[in-house]
Amino acid sequence: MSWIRQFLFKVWGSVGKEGLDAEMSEEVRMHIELLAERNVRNGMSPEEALYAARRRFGGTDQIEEKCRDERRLHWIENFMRDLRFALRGLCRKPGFTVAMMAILAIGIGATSAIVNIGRAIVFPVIPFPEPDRLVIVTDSNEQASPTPYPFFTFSSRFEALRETSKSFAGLGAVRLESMNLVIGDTPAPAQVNWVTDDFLGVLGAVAERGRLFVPGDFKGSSGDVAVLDWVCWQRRFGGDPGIVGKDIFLGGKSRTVVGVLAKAFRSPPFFAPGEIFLPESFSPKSGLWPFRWLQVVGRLRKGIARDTAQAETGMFRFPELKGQDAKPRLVPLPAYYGIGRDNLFWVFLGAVGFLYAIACSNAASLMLTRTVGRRRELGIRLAMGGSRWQIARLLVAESLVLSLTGGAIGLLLSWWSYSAAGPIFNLQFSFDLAALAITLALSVLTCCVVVLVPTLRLQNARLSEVLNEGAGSLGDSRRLGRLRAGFVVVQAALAVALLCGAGMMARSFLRLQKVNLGFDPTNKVGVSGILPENMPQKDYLQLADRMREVLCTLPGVKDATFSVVVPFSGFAMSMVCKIVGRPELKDVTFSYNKVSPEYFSTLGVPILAGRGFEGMKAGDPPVAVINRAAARKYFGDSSPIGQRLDLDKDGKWEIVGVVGDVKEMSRRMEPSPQLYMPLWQPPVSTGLLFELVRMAAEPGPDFEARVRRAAYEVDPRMAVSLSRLTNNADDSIKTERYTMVVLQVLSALALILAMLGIFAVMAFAVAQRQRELGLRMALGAAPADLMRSVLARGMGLAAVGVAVGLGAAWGLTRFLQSVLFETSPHDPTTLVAVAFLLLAVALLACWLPARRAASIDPIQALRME
Amino acid sequence: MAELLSGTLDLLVLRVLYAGPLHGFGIGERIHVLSKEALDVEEGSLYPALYRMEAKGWIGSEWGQSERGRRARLYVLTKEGRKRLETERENWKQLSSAIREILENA
Repeated sequence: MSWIRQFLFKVWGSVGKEGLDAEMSEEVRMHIELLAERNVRNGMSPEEALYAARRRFGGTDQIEEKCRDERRLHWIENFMRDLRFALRGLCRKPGFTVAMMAILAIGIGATSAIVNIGRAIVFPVIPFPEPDRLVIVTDSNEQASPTPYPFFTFSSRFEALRETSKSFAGLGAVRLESMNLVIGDTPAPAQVNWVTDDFLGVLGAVAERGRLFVPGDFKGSSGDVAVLDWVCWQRRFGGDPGIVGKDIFLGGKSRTVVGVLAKAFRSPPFFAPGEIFLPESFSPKSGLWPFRWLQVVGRLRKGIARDTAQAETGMFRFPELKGQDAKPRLVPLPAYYGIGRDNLFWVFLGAVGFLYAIACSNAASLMLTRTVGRRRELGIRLAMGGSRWQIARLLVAESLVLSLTGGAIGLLLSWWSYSAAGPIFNLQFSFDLAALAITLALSVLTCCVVVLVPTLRLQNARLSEVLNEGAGSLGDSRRLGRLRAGFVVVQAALAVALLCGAGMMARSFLRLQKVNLGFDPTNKVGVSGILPENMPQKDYLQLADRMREVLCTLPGVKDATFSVVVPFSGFAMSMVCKIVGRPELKDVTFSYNKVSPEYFSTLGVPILAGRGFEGMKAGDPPVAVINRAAARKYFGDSSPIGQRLDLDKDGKWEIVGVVGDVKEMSRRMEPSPQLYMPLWQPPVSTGLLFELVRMAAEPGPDFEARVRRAAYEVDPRMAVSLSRLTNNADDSIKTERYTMVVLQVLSALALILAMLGIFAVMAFAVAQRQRELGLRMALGAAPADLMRSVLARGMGLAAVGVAVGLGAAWGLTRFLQSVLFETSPHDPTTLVAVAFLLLAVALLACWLPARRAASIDPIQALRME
Repeated sequence: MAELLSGTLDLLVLRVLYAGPLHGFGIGERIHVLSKEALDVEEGSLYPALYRMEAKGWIGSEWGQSERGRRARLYVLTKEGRKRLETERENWKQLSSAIREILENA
């Protein structure tokens, strides 16, 4: 370890120099005094003695310097000197410094942000202990997907699995229910998670206060005890320190809070997050109606591989669900982190890579300009014995200062971007040492890239050439000009490619926005109420009716209808049946909706043939209305009116009408075959109540409270939440909007950088050609000619860049194909528009240098030098 | 006055400091006296050697009082310096006996 101490000693010798120098001088002085004293003892006079002592000692400065050499690190001192020198030099050129820092901050910031997002996607932070043993158990029928939506039907299946499977250390299920939480006298819907006894334990949850559930809580539980989420405790109860032991009024009954979960607890991704946890005990009666929508997570026993567990679980067959023989699948929980955005991530990474390349080439170009501008100074340094290595070191120090500062600013920019990216990528970001290290590494890399070119040029600069070369001499500058022209072309090309991507996304987004939804979402509000389970059907139907009537009386409401499916709420239902007399079709699938007769008029869905449900009442023979897509798909050209559907035990339903297609889930998907049935027609599901309200205008801020109060009066057990259909419809293209905005920001930055790059190169070229231009003017060239020649040069470069960029875009935008909607990745309008945009910007960037060229005073230009 | 063989100065300094802390002048004096005035250490090589050995951690230094109450920088042998002294001494023994062999039997 002695080399470490030696190193530190030397570092101290380099840094704490002044104090050490003083000590050394004192030591030398004392030595000389002692020598002199000895001489006096030997009989010399005091003056003579001192003189002899000095002579004997020799040159004190040389000795001190030798001593200093022994105890310091040259390179640290040299580096500090370079750094100081670089700082001085940069302060003298504030314009250059600020421009460089801004360029590098953009480049490094954007890149480190995206690299960090990538890091979080590849190595997500999973907030559970031993996450590798956690699996999601799902019987979703998305068999092909590596991460099927995590739901599990039937509590009976779950119970069977839990009792017989040997692979799990714990298997927990959770079921979401919305309930009214009454604090004071205001009801507000709360997300309640009914959890089985293992659920919290499987996820390794711990209590912040009080306790979690104990086995006794689950026996025949109706949820008498509750555990709160940390956020719920803070938000709804103001972090009340005495919350444990208090009663809360939830879902029409009073329950005792026994504990609060630790702050770090999160539900697994795609699980319905709950604020309040209640102990679940499944009632013995379970089946398709009322349906149980569970989410199941299991912890494998130590040493049991997922494949083994899967093989065991796959033996289960559940006969309950006809036509759906999906066996339970075990999906590793970590797979759910950061999924579904991979495509997007690669698009962003590519875009940011382009931006980074533009920023670097821009910075390198500026650095080159600066180096060339200083070649006289550097030449003199060389002539005075400075080595090329020393000069290169100076350049490195300068660019290191710039790129580290740029990196620091970039770090702030990227920090800000995480808050935007978190929800989109469904990830938690941590701002940690690794993030810092990534930015630092990027800064150093950038520094190397940026000084590479000027330093290489320095290597082959011959001393005499450098000293002889005046501002006006050409020769070498021609090669230099080509290099800088190359930079311009590259920047323009990259900017064009980025702009094309952003343009395609924007066009695709506009088309998505304009998609015909089959109904008009404006001024419509979805009111969803979640009801206690096991409500008698009669009560449920009365409640639905009553609720509709109450809603119609609220101010501003024009119309209200019952509808189990609220479009774009993310909830949809599907059913399988047969068509009477069409055995060749076997099972046909519909996504279906249960509505009251007002549905079609309230939502504005046109009735194309036959009739709707007007004038019908409970007890009438069963009927159905299908949409146009279903009519086309299942009945072709023949009329579906009067045909009958066979629903096995629910009887045979007559099709009485055909209505327009409604997009319920996604703007992208073609409408699927849909079926509507009157809400009273069996089978009736009683857990959920949805109403759609048509208003005269978008609802005011107090509308929600009003609806809640009204609903509370109708039935206090009903927890009501509202959504505006326009918001729902907008949310369905959130990802696309985000992608578009990110690409637009990146390409706008790229455009600005490219513009700066072109401007800098042209301005520099004009400054260099000042003498030549002056000479031409003196020989009779018109200012307009000079201007044209500068413009032609700049626009020529830009045009080459545009051509290259369009070529690149042609090849690259196909990676956007999966996110584009009804837009060709070679959309000609976008390509042409981008080409014109870039040329216009280039023209703008060349304008000032061209003006300068035209206004050169020949006398002055010739007198220079 | 004999010239000092290069590389032996470190050994001599370490040996002299083995007896106790000393300042730079004292080290030179002690070597001079112990060698019966045959060796005279030049200040120009003594001080760089001291600083080098300090950097290597063989000796330490601190400010203290010299024999006549003067403020002086005193050099002390460190633990590592003691070890170093042993190896240097061994090296020197081997080297000198080898040289003697050559001089006497060649």
